[in-house]
Amino acid sequence: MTRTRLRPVAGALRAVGYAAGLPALALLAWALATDRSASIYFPPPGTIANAFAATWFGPAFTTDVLPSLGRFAVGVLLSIVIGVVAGTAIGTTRWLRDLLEPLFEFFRAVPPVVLVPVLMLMLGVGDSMRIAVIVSGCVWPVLLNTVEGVRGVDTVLTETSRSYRVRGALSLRYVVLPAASPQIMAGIRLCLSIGLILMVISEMFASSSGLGYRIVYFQRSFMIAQMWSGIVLLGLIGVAVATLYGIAERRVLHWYHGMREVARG
Amino acid sequence: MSRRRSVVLAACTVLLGLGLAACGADAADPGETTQDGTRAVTIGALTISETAPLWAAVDAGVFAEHGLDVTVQPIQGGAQAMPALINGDVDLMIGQPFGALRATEQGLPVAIVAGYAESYPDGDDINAVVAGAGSDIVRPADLAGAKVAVNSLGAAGDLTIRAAVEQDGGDPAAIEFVEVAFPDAAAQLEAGNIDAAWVPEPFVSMITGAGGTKVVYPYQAVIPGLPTLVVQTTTQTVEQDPELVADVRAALADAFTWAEENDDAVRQSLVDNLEIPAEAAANLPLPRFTTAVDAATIEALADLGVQYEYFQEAPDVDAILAE
Amino acid sequence: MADTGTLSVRDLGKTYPVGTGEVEAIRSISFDVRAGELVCIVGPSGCGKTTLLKCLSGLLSPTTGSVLLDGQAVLAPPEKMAVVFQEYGRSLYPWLSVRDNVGLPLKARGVPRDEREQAVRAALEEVGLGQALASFPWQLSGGMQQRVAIARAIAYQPEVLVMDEPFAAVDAQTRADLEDLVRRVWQDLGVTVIFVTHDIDESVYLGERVLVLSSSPTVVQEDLAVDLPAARDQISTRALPRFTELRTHVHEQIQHAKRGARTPLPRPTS
Repeated sequence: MTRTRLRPVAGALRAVGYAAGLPALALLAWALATDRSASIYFPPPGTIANAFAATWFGPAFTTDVLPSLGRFAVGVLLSIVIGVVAGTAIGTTRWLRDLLEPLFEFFRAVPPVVLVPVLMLMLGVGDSMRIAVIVSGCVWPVLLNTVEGVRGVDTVLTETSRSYRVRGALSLRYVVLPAASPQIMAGIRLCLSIGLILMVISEMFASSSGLGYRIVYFQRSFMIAQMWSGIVLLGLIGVAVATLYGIAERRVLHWYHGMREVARG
Repeated sequence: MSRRRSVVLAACTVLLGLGLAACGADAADPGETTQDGTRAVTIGALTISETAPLWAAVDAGVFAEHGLDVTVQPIQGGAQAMPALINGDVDLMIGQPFGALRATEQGLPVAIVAGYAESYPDGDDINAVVAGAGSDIVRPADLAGAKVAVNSLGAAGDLTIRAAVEQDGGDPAAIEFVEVAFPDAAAQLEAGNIDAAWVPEPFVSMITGAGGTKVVYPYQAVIPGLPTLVVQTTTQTVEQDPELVADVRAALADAFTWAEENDDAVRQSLVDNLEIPAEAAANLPLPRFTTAVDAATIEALADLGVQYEYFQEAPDVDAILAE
Repeated sequence: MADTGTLSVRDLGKTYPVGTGEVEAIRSISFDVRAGELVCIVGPSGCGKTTLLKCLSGLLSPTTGSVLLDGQAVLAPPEKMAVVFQEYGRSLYPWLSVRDNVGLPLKARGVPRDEREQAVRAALEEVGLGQALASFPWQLSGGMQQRVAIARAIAYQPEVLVMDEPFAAVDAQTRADLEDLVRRVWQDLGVTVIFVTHDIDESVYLGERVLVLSSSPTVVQEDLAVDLPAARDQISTRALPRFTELRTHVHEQIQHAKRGARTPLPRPTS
């Protein structure tokens, strides 16, 4: 009786323990290591925490963090929309695929960073250039996964839809895109992590605001604790983005996970 | 001038754990004596035209005469090289004086032990704010409200530009600064993405040659003769190895004298080390090279930094200048 | 009984290109199905049953000959036809609830929401799944999933219902229930049913007629009328001597066909 009542509590505690355990250990290790060394480049966690509060809970939140997040969001959303729309068109159209696939391999191999000077000339030194940098790197996983997902729709399902005359937009909305959604979501997951990296990198060029700019600025200005606090903030944003993705994925792919669970018995 | 590379490198260093360099082995102690009686010294220097006399003089054996076996270690920027300086991988470093002030303000044990290059107090200076062809920006005050590019924000460039604008009656707070690498500035000006850019030579000549306007020499306007590069090391080296510091200073002074008499060799080292075409190298304006540091200019720079709130408290210039 | 839903197959042949050559899957098949008839098609494995069915339903165009539905050539999936596939697990949309799986073809047809909901409920009631509206297909057993597929076909209100070995993958007990369900649906709705199977007993038990196909390249080996009573029952019908005679005959036909014969054996007299 007591055992069954305790089980959910213990389970929750264990979950929290697993999630927080390693970060806590890492923090402890960091604290111990920095406690004994006097290196300016490795400030103790307390110093970084103070710098974190002083740096980011202030005007920097609106001048650096929000613009960064805004560019990240716009870049990633654009990548998803372009990737899914173009990927669906290409995945369902044979000649388009034959035409474009070699070109994709070419552009995919170009690191977005080397495009920066070109994009700067074409789009200026403002937000549109930075968003273009994000899109130029983020669109590929979504696009290519969408192409694969759309091409890989089960033939029985396709024939079912054809025989019941489910066509056009209805077929896209209720058959093709849902069938491709596990792969599209996997592409989006990649897109998010690449987007975060490119958000930072794009702000290191022709910039005067943003998290990436601010971190480099701190590094250049020898404000080491502030620099580390920026890295910590980036990490926290990464965790938050992954959490949001997880929530969205569970909603979109609930059927997929349910189906796999049933298949596993 | 290798700002783009330095930015990419910074991205990597910052994200992958900048301090790795700081964890590196405690390399050769400064001034370790080798078998033939010379002392091995590593000097960090940017791969820019100002380094030419150092390369040329090292090759010509000027340092060897002082018993120094110098290795010139290319660095990407003062801040990026600082960990290497602190942990002793690099014994001395040639960097901007503003960087040394900034490092000291943040508690890093850095000292300026000699001058290296300085801007010209009058005549043509070696860096300028230039506006694109057809721009109506002609004087510093016009920069208020304009988009102005500097290679690296929060340093001597934007600081002196702010002061020059205010001195000319403009509102320094109205300048919109943006970071653009020096080699990209001309194209950005032409594309109309920026209104003006702070660039060194040869870009000043390139842009004015293409119809651009020279708006102001910010160093000359605000702190005439401000050093552009100084020799820096750690306070520990200054205290524990004054002999090395003195030897380097003396050798560098000889090197500059030698360079003045051997301009061809200096120009040739531009061709060899930076792959600048010989013709361009011959005409490239170079700064004034001197080992003397005018303390007043450093003092003025520090005061300006405080005035424009680049520094929270005034750096102790006397402590930084170890002469 | 409906007066529409007649199907005519005329000299239907299908060859597939394979590499540089081609494979003749169906040589020439001709038969007619009257409106409201329940016809079972059996044949040895690999005889092209699925190819034939895809040609019937307009999913595949024949190389030669034609399929006529109420006199009209079938060139694409016709609106009056519904198909139930063997792989229920792959023919239901796993991301849609049972309700939406059954309702999607109606939505494609432009049936208004209220009417759709009614048709979906009625069809699910008909197959005994009135409670499963909100479930997802993968939450149901195999037999229940195939019932959903049948409900989808019913809700579509076809004149011809084509079923491709629909019970090949369910257990024997479920299979018997589903066979009776098909008989009942056929009787209730009066639709034409083409039921493809490899199970001889099933073909005799279900059909009013059994078409026995030859080995590939396929022709119709025999067109056999099943003279069993209309009211069929798993126990008593299967116990009838006539049932045994018919199934033995079909069995022999298929053995005969496997040896490469193209002509029928003499029929058993009733």
